[in-house]
Amino acid sequence: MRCLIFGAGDVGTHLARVLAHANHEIVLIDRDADLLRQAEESLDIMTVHGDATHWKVLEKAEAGSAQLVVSVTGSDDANVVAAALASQRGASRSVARVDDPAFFSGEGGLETGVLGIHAILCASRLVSEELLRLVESLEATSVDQLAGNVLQLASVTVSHTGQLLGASVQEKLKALERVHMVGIGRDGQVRGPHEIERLELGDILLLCGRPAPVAHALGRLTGDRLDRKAVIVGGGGVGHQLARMLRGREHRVQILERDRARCEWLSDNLRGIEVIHGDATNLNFLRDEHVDSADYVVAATRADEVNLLVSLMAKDLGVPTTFSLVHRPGYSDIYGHLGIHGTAGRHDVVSKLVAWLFPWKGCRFVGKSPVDGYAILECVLPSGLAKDLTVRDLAFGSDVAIAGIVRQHAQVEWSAATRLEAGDIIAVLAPAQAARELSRRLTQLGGHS
Amino acid sequence: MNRRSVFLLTSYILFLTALFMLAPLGLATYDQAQASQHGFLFAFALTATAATALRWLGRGEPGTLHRKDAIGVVVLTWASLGIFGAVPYLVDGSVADPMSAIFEAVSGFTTTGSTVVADIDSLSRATNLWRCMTHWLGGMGVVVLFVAVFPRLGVGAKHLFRTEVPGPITEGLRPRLKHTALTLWWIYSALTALLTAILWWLDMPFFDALCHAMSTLGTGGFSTRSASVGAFQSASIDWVISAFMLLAALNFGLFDRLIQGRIREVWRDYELRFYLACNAIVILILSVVIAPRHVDIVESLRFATFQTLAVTSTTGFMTEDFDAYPEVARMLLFLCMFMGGCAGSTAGGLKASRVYLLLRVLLSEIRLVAEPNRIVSIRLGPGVVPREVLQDVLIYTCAFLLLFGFCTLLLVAFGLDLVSAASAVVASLASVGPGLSAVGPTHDLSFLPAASKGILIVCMIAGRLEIFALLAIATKEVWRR
Repeated sequence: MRCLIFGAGDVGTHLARVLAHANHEIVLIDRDADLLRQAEESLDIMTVHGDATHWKVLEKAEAGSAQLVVSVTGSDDANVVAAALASQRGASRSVARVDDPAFFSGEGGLETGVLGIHAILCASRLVSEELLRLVESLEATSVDQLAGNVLQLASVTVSHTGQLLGASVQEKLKALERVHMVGIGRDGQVRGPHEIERLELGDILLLCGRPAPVAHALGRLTGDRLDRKAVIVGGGGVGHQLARMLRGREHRVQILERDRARCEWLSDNLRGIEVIHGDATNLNFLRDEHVDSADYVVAATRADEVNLLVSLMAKDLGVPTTFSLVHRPGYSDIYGHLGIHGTAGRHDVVSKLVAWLFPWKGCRFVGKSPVDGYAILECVLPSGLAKDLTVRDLAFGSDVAIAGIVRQHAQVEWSAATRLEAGDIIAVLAPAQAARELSRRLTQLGGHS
Repeated sequence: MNRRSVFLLTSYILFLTALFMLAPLGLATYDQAQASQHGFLFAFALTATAATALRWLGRGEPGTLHRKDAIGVVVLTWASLGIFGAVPYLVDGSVADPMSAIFEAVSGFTTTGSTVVADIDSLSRATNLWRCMTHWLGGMGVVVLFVAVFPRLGVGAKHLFRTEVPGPITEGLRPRLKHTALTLWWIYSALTALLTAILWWLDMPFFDALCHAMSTLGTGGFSTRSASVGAFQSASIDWVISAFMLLAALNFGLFDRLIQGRIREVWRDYELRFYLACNAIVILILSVVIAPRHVDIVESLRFATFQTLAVTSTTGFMTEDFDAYPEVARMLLFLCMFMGGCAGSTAGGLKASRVYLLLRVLLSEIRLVAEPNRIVSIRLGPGVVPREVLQDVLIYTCAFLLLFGFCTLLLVAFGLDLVSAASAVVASLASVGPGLSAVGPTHDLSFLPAASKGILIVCMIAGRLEIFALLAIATKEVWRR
């Protein structure tokens, strides 16, 4: 597939690397010849020097024949213009990165069909969501994003210490709001919630839904206290959005920011969040602000060096868990070696979502399921479905558990009688070898045109 | 340099070369030419054994190929080609000594076309096929062919490609280098097949047609006849080969654009226009200067066109002895040797684009004498040539001229006259083949002492790999891991 990437910064170059490794033909475009030279040195790609909002540059890069155009320069405006121009010239799919969350109509960080652009991504929102997922993983065994971050699949393992051991499944089911209990993993099998009466040691509870309700449900199920103390260092776009999300999860949030004007802005716009002005690389400042009492620290400044230093200092002060924003690709491992619990980067979340936006048919592997032998799969319903096809008619088999359904980047509240449409994405948990059989079944379902 | 990676990849390229030796081996068997059969059998076995040994030395998982490794692979490959390609000549008795055999092989692979064989007509068909095959393989490049057929090279493909493909600006035709290499080889093979068919249709025997087609497209110059293309005494063959010599000297990217229907872009190509204009001027002058030697102006034009293109495309075929031309014509052809063909072609020399840029720089510098504070940009069409590219062009030209001067001095020191030495060196550096005077188109170079042959071998490889790759291998930085 021929892919055009506008912007040879960290995100663009990382995306080029990921897509080139997946055997796609990459053309990288940037105004900075040095950045292009650096990218060319390490990647088997073609580069075009110029401004992606200029017709001549798009013509030279043959934007019209591209199957995918991704615009990830540092300028929101340029990204939208370039992606729209590429779409107008005939590019099959276009994606633009916009960092300002105010651009978006909803909270999802993903807008579709604006100005003919297939998808507009809010990179700061996506990376905040990824940091949030890491935070929520503290309360669960695992948390996975599904269907382009629309859904979250969380798993909790029943242990000696929690309040789940011996609990009635039906009672727990009743306590769930806007969250679907996909099943319970026991003895290497996923069983329906109605097949099991009481939870036993080692059982794995599988929950699926929008991220916020899932987080809420996790707190209720496990009985973990929700009022965790969070310290976010850096009040930029990511820090600001993460603070808002964490406030919604009933965490007590404190933001440390070096720029006084930004602190004032944050204080004006974030009710209920403590904004503190100061330099977080100063150890005395961290002590004065009792950062050591935090349950976790998220370092989200614009500089990798500061993030690394702050994470290490927080760890040294006794903060049990630290997370960090990473800007330069390939640094995550270093953070891991130094004992930082999790990292998230714009380059990584954008490339994952772009890869997800590639058109596909049938069934594809998303990740390993927490239940041994099971995989998380996403199935897209083909065109030519029978009229009035419902979830019941899917007949995927008894060993396949449906986690959730997504239609046009929105969650569908579903039951067995819910009607399905072509293009719906059904996230399932299925035995690892079942993918081919599911793809065959999907082809059968599409045979009614 | 990661030696294991270098050995491993070179072993694959040698295996590929060994496979090509099977064609002349088959022909020698068919012709019952025992000496050639032994020669190619031995060469095949030796190349395959060497490849196996290198494969063993480079055993293990191949790592990512870096720039230094690519230089190692290309230089080791070209050195190996000279040695293993020479084995058939030595074993079947075509040449007398190992240095001459290596000279003939390097001259073949670098598409130079200088020969040490006095009587080409007496060579077996298999040997002649191999001589022309070496041109064909070396023309587009064995390493480029390897990039096209070998999977999983990643960014290493780019380093290998750039080290072997000549020209100041080597733009990829496709986003992935493997596809670019494949496209180039397809165009190259298709043009070779087309020329073979046309020559065959013009009553040239099929074997000669194939050999001349390979030699023409590789811009080599080896012929199956001692009198080269002149042996066929056919105006149509002369015109057709002239046309294909011109095509082979053009940037192969232009053919790709032509296939895609981007004709206007092809015509706007500054290098193409400059190259065509240079050729037209030289042909016109030559036609007038050599007119007294021919019966009419049409014949004069035919010979002038053929000899000019033979030199500017760095092929080196001949239909008549251009060394016997008047001094003006000889000097013109001598100067043309420096320029060579276009970047991205199979031709050698400084390349038309470099000469054009040099002239533009020269003109702008002259203007700056009057207005020293003025900032001048060199433009090509709508774009500006980056200053680094201009710097590279100047540095390359300097290196070319320094090497030319130094090697000429050495050849003169070894007893050759000045004109012969200078023309032999430039003809080797630019991969033209025949020079002037004692190394003219009707002479073979067997009389040269081994040391002189060695110097010319270095010149040929340096010219083919555009000097720096060969010089870089001598630096300790390349050998450092």
